[in-house]
Order: sequence, then structure tokens, then C-alpha cells
Amino acid sequence: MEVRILKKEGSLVEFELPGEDHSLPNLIVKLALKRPEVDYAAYNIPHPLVGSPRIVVRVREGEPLDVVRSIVEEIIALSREFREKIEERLKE
Amino acid sequence: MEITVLESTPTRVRLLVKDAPLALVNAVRRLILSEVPVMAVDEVIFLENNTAMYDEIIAHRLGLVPLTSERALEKYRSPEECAECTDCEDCFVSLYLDIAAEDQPVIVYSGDLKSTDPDVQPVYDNMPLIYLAPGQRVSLEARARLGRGKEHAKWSAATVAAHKYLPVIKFDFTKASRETVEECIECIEGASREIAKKLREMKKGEYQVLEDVNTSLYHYCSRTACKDVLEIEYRDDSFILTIESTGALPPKRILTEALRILEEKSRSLLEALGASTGGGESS
Amino acid sequence: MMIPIRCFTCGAPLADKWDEFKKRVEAGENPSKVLDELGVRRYCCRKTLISHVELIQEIAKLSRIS
Repeated sequence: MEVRILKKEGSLVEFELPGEDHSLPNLIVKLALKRPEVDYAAYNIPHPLVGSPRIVVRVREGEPLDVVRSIVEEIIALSREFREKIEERLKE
Repeated sequence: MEITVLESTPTRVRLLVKDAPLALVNAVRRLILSEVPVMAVDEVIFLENNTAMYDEIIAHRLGLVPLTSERALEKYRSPEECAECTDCEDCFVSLYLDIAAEDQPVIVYSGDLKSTDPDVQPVYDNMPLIYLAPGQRVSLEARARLGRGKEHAKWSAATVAAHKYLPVIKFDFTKASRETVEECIECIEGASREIAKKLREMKKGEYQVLEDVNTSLYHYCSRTACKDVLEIEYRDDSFILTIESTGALPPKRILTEALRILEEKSRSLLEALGASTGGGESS
Repeated sequence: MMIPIRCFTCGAPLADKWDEFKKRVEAGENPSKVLDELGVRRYCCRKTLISHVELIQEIAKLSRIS
């Protein structure tokens, strides 16, 4: 996946995910907002036909990119768990 | 995170998902419709067509025919590699058709397509594709490849991918007059007889609506006939996820693929983020 | 012209149900019941089957301009 970091100033990071749609950015932002260390999180797609979502995360403490990485790790863990439960419950 | 299976058929699956974030369930739903790859005809080479249906009409119909794709996900290369390939090895499956009508009209069905790969066949063989009047003939080679729903709806793995909050009916029939209770139950019967019956038996309590019904009518009932006796609320920590497949992939595979794609995208993002510290980098 | 392969709205495969639907309704059965039994649940799909007219059979009789 391509990531373009647009802004990185202290407690704030803004990055772009070319080629993506709402699915991933929305998930990242919603999970970010649940965390106490996150002060502000949002995403925006400037134009639907030129769909390049930009995500902004600002933290109260710590390095914003570390927090983002931790959120993405959480997504990986959640999707793993979901997938394992599906494999278990839906026996053909 | 808890998952309970409410319904499971070869084409349809309904799950009760508890304690998963809404954004996760939605992401899965979106990925199912747009990113889970499926096989479908993409190019058609016509050798002969003197029917009343133009080449492009036939090609369009062929493209929409659902093809079994489960084994194809492993055997063939990804859409990204095949969409504009110069080296197209392991990209395409060819399906052939060569039918002529003598003195009776002939209807060509999806079952008449001859595939070079037995793992990639039309899901249904009784789909009428082409109508041949006497004397007409059609001879073509259709090439199918893996694609994603976001490129064209024919490659969408599911017809229905929907999630909703779990509806719960809270009611207490013991606290109201018999006439009110009867009116209320009549109103509910308008939406679902089964549920009305169950409510009548339970008399009071909380009923989780796990059946495949639309509960919006109950709002009307709770405001009119069932005022103060029954209300409907939606639990926002539990979802009912409904997936209906086109037949190309079994519903379980659709779900696991969508989750695998989510995991892959996230890993790829992690890698790209891990690599960059200051400027931008791509992975 | 011919029965659409899929429902325009939801994408559900429909063409496989056409032959049986047509046969049973022409035999006199109630279309609503036939649709229910064929598993055609949503009204987007139901309308496609109910209101389809196989015009291709008329069109195919016309000769081509070549």
C-alpha cells in the first residue's frame, strides 16, 4: 500500500492513502477515537472521483505515528479474531 | 467478540455479531462488495453471430453469468496482474460456445458453455443466454478472469451484504387492559405473525428479534396501538450481518476472504508506516 | 428482449428462475406464490420476473438488414 505522509508536526500526523476507499480510513479513525491518548482523529476524501483519503491523527502524548501503528495492529488482531470465529462457527 | 450463526444456507448466511466495532463490521461489508475477487467473463471473441442479438448484448449477458470461483481464487492470478496483462499466463479461463439452429428456434443456455477448466463453470446451467431463430448461428470464445466488485458489479461477490443493529422489543402486557393488548398484538401481526404469537405467549419481557424481518413497522405500533405497552429499541453493541452470495463463492469463503483482505491491507499499511519516519515512502 | 441475467438493483441471479416461473404462471399458478417458492424475496427482483416480456421471440422473426 502506498502511504504519503503530508504533515508531521509534533503531536499531529496527516497521511494519505492513494487508491483506497472509505473502508480502511473510517475504521482507523473510529478506533483512534476510542483511545484516551488520541485528541483528534478524522479522515476526508476531497473528491469521490479522485479518491485519495487523507487521515489526520493528533495525540495528547507520545509519537502520533506510533499510535497509528498500534491502531493498525489492533485492526489486524480484530480481523484475525473475526476470521477465526467465522471458521469455527460456520462449518460447511 | 462473539459470533452466533442465525441462518446458514449454501447461498445465504446471517450472523449475530456481538462486541465488534461498527466500523469493523462495515469495513467487512464494504470489502465483500468491492474487493473480494470473483471469476467472470471479461472478453468475448466472436467467430460468428448472425442472431438478432448484437455482439455486445451477448457479451454483456455472458459477463453477468456467475461462475464458480472458489478454486479459481488460488489458481489464477490477481485482478491487478491480469487486468492489463502483457504476459497473461494463468489469467484467463476460456469458455466456448458453438451452436446453430436448424429449422427450429434454439435457446442457448448457460449450461451450453464449455469451459476449459472444470473448476470454473456457470453456477446455474439453466440461464437463457441467446435466442437463435432457425438458420442462425453463434460461435464464440469467452475469456473469464478474476476481478473485483469495484471494477464492475459482475465481479461483486455478494448480492446482499447488510448489517443492522439488533432490534429488541421491550414490552409488558400485564400492565395494560385486555383491549389494549389485543389491539397491540393485532398491530404487530401486521408485520409478523410469528413474533406476535411469541409476544402473546411471553406476556412481558425483552424479545430479541433474530428473525429476518423488517422491524420498522413496530415503531408505528409502539406509538399508536401499543402506546406505553411496547417499545422497540436497537442495541448498538450487536449486529445482525446478512450475506447473500451470487453463487460464485460460498458465503463462508466470502467472509474469510474479506477479512483476509482487510488483514493484508493493514499489514501492508503497517509496513509502509514502519518504513517511514519523516518523509513519505511507499511499500 | 431476453430475461435479464441479474436483478438490476441488487445483482441477484434471476435468469435461472425464468423458465420455471414462466411455465408455472402460464399453467395458472399465482405468480406471487411461485416467486416465494423460487426464493425471490426482494421486490426489486420480483418486479423483474413479473413484468418481463420475451420480446426477443418477436424480434428474431424480423430479417436483418445487411
